[in-house]
Amino acid sequence: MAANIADIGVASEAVRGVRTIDHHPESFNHRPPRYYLLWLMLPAILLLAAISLYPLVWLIYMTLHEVQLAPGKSDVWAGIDNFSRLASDKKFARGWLTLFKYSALCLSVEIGLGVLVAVILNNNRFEKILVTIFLMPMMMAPVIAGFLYMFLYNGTFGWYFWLLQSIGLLESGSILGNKFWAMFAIVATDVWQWTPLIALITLAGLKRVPQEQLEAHMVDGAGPFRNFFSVALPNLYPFLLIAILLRFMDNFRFIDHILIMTGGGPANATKILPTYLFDVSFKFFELGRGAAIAFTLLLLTILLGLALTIVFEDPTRKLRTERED
Amino acid sequence: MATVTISDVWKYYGKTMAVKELNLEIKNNEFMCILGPSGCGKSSTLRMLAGLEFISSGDIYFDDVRVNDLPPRDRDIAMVFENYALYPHKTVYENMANPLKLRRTPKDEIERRVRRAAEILEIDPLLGRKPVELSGGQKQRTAIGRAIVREPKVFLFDEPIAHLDAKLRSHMRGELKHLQRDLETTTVYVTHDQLEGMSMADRIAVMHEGVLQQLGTPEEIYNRPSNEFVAGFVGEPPMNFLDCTLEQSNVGLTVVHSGFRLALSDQQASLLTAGSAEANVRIGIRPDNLAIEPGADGTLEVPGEIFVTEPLGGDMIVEVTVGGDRVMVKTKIGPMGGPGDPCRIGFDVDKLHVFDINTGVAYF
Repeated sequence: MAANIADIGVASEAVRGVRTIDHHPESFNHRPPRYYLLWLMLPAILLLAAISLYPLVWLIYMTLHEVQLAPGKSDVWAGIDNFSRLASDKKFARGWLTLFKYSALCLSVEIGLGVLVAVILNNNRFEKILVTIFLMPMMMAPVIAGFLYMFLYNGTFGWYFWLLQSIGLLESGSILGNKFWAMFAIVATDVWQWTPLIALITLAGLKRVPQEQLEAHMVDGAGPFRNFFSVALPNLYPFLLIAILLRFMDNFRFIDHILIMTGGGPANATKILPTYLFDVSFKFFELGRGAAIAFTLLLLTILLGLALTIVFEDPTRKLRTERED
Repeated sequence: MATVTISDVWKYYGKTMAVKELNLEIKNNEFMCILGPSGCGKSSTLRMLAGLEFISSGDIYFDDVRVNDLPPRDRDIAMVFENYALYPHKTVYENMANPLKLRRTPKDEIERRVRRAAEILEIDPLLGRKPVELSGGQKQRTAIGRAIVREPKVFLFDEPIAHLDAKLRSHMRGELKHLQRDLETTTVYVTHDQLEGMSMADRIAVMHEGVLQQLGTPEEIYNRPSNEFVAGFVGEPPMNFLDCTLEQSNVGLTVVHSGFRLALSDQQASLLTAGSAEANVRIGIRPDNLAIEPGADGTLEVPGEIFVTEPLGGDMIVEVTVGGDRVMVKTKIGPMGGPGDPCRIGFDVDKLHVFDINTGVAYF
């Protein structure tokens, strides 16, 4: 083969009068193998395996067993029993529903408010100081925020309770004890703590919106509102995607507010699936069933994450990486 | 279809002055070029015309309407930006249709106008593409297309072809000029490239450090620059400047340089006297207005020494050392000799410019 290519090279040199380089042509486009990179990555891979893969394997093991906690007893093989029992578990189904309701409420309010705040902050004279002030709720531990709001909602001395009562929205009783209000109260806490994150991400995105596009659109005949929705917003999509993904997964993970304020009550009105999982695993200590619930949560998180990426995939991105000019 | 009047306009960014007391009247259907180096205030001026920048003081009128407080959308202008500013998420068609859509033009009318503009600009096969799929020239045509789908009062061009490669740029110069004549629309064209101004504009306004230096036709700007800046900025290769003294003798007024003496014409002398010129002046002469011949004993009056020759194909530029200064001479390509060889150059005294050495103002 090598001889053939060399022959072709000689022939073309003779025909075209061009000097050819005496190499295998196909080798030009290939980088030499870089096996050493594997060794460089090995510590990271091992660490990841230890802290991430090992628990995952354990999770899968637990989903397939009836895990025994008493000393001396060994786990009993359960097959798919843990999963099949979930099918008839009404609290499990309700947990999902509540979780979606909670997530949808949190996300829509946070995205709307966050974008609005970012637009107001952007190029504001006091932008830096306002951003700093605005980020404060985020710096608070979620548990503390939970306690703070629990006291604010308190039926005897809570300020929010007094406010709602004064404007006639509430008659008596308590906010967190009310089946209708409890969910909104918890959503409000989440909004208070996490809207700044959305605003911050959006603000970073707004800085990247090309000024000339906004100006061109203004010259084309757009007012400020059209300008925002037709030019700024499309440029913000990738940033909003990141914000939505982050907050969506956070809603699965951060159950501090709910655990502190209602524990899932009243009458399971705020029992989102992760709190139910918490109850099953760490109150009833049914670790096998808990693992099965956790596994469904994990699957859904991954699937929704993927779906969001596909929905928001910027169709021009592929081209853009292919030909930069 | 409008006259544009810029009256006593100043622009400050904080404490930095960008435009100083600008007065400019752009006639109906005129192609006006604002020319100047970066930071001269030309873009600020254009952006004030567009309504993208506040006017610090002064007034801008379109016809008789004061537009100072009108937002861009109410000024009936179309602008082409330096970086094209196409909307990346829209196709070429949608990009071009945007100004019409925002003005609630009926759909079939939009279709008709976009197709027509695309035909003029020869981008009709590209209408379905997104900007990322276009080359620089195609993007630029799309941006122009977006400007011409409407029939605005004024076109504003902000260095629209600065980012194209040299060949395409020279092609687009002709296209743009033709297009402007076709559309018969008042046009303000901002550029730092004197060639674009010279080749396209009806009139050129040369700006420097926020101040209007000269306003005139390309011919006037080139042949009768009002000061040293304009003289040096316009023309390629640039004008030669030499510090000289004036001497009164029995034959008349003479320009004296360490390498040569030049007798001025009576008309030139009277202009200098009228301007009460000092003894020290700076003369300027374009490389085209110098003649050169190789060898030490030719007929031309000024002896010099070749510093370097730069052949350009048909022409060549010869840098010659004359009495301690260096001048550029543009001539037809031919045998010239190498660095260090003697040569003789001749001045076309009629084409000489004389500037005040301190203020740079031209006497002629």
